[in-house]
Amino acid sequence: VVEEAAGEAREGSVTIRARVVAARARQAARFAHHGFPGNAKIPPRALARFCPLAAPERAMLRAAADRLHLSPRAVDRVLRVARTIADLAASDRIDAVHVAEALQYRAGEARAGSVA
Amino acid sequence: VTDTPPLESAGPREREAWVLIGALPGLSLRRKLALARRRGPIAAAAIRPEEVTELAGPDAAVKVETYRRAVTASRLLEDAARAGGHVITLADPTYPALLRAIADPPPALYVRGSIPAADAVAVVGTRRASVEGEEVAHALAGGLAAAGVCVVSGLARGIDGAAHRGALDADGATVGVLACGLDRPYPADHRDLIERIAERGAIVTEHPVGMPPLAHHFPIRNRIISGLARATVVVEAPLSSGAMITADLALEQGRDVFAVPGSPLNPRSRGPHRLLREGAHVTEGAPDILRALGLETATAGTDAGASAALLALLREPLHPDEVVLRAGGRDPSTVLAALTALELQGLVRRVAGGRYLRSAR
Repeated sequence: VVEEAAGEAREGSVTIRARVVAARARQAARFAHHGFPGNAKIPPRALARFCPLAAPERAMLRAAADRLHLSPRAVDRVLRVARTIADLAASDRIDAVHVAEALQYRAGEARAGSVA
Repeated sequence: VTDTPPLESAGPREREAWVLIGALPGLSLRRKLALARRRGPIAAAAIRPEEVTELAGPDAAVKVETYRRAVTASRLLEDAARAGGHVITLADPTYPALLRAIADPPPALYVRGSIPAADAVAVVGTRRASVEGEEVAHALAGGLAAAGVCVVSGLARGIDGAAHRGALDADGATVGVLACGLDRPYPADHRDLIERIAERGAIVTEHPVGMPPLAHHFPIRNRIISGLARATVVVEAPLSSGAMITADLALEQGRDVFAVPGSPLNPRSRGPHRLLREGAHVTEGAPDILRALGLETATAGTDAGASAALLALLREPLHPDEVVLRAGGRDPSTVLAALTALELQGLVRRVAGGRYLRSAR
């Protein structure tokens, strides 16, 4: 009912399925020789390699971590999610918008902390 | 462009030759570099006494011979390793590219820690800084470091020390350039600071282990500070000071110079004010430098239309999903990114239940 409000920007489930399949294919290709199944399982030491950020995006994430009191592990999770968002957008590069969207999906700690 | 020696493959013999050339007394650095460029480093390191006499007089030849009998490259390298460091020569691809580009790069750098690959900015100023000056240097360096910029300085008391600490306190990288060997932490009361810098960045010098901090080392050391950096910022400095020498060297090297204005009643403002008159960039904080160098932090979702729409919506607390639904058909990714941007700017905040609300003004 409410969903109708989102209007013309909505994708049909068929297109979404195609995007997800394509994103999974990108991940499978990326990790072919590394023994982990997908972005969620990238170990911390491999993040710099598989989720590289350019200097401005790195600075943005660092500022966000500072401001939102993210733990190092939370920052790692944001990186993995940003990698996935970039994959869904068929982008090799993780852009600032991908990082920013990933920050929206961050886990509970900051929510609890910012209760006014 | 000028006297820069050609890049060579980093064979161990070339490395050793550069180490010897760097420490060889009696001939000026420019002369040594010119020789090495013409003949290659190995032949230049083995220059005959008659030639030295011809170039720089018999005294110089005696110095060269005494040095050759006393010192070997492997000994210099071992001493560096014993002092916890390593050596980067002009033969190594890891030699900092910006420093390689200056007219008189050190043939060998003795390094503790590792020189960050990030863009670097030098922050320098007087040893006798005011409290405000140290505060400005600390904040400036912190802002640069938080944006991923490596802060280079000269490890001195006052502005230099505040700049290094500012970078460290922001969890950033910093490089300190010594005017003596790696084994001599100078000034002595910066021993702890030097250790922290070596852990999180690098301590760098062109002098072999054992070299004391002689007065004439300081002005030539400053070319390394400016040479490692894309730009040099002078915070507080009297007209005749090491920091002003660094700024002049930066200009010679074709690098940008920034200056922080101060009170005309403060004699330490004279240096920066001279630079400003000569065209240095006015600097109130790190953003001025980041903007001028094109190193600004990425911002996402700063689409003005989306931001205004979200701010209007968030007069009442809304969950991100509701924000997306009510954002007038904008792409969900754009909306969520814009929401993060507003949050980072402090214009909206998360409240109970993960909902967002516009911040009270």
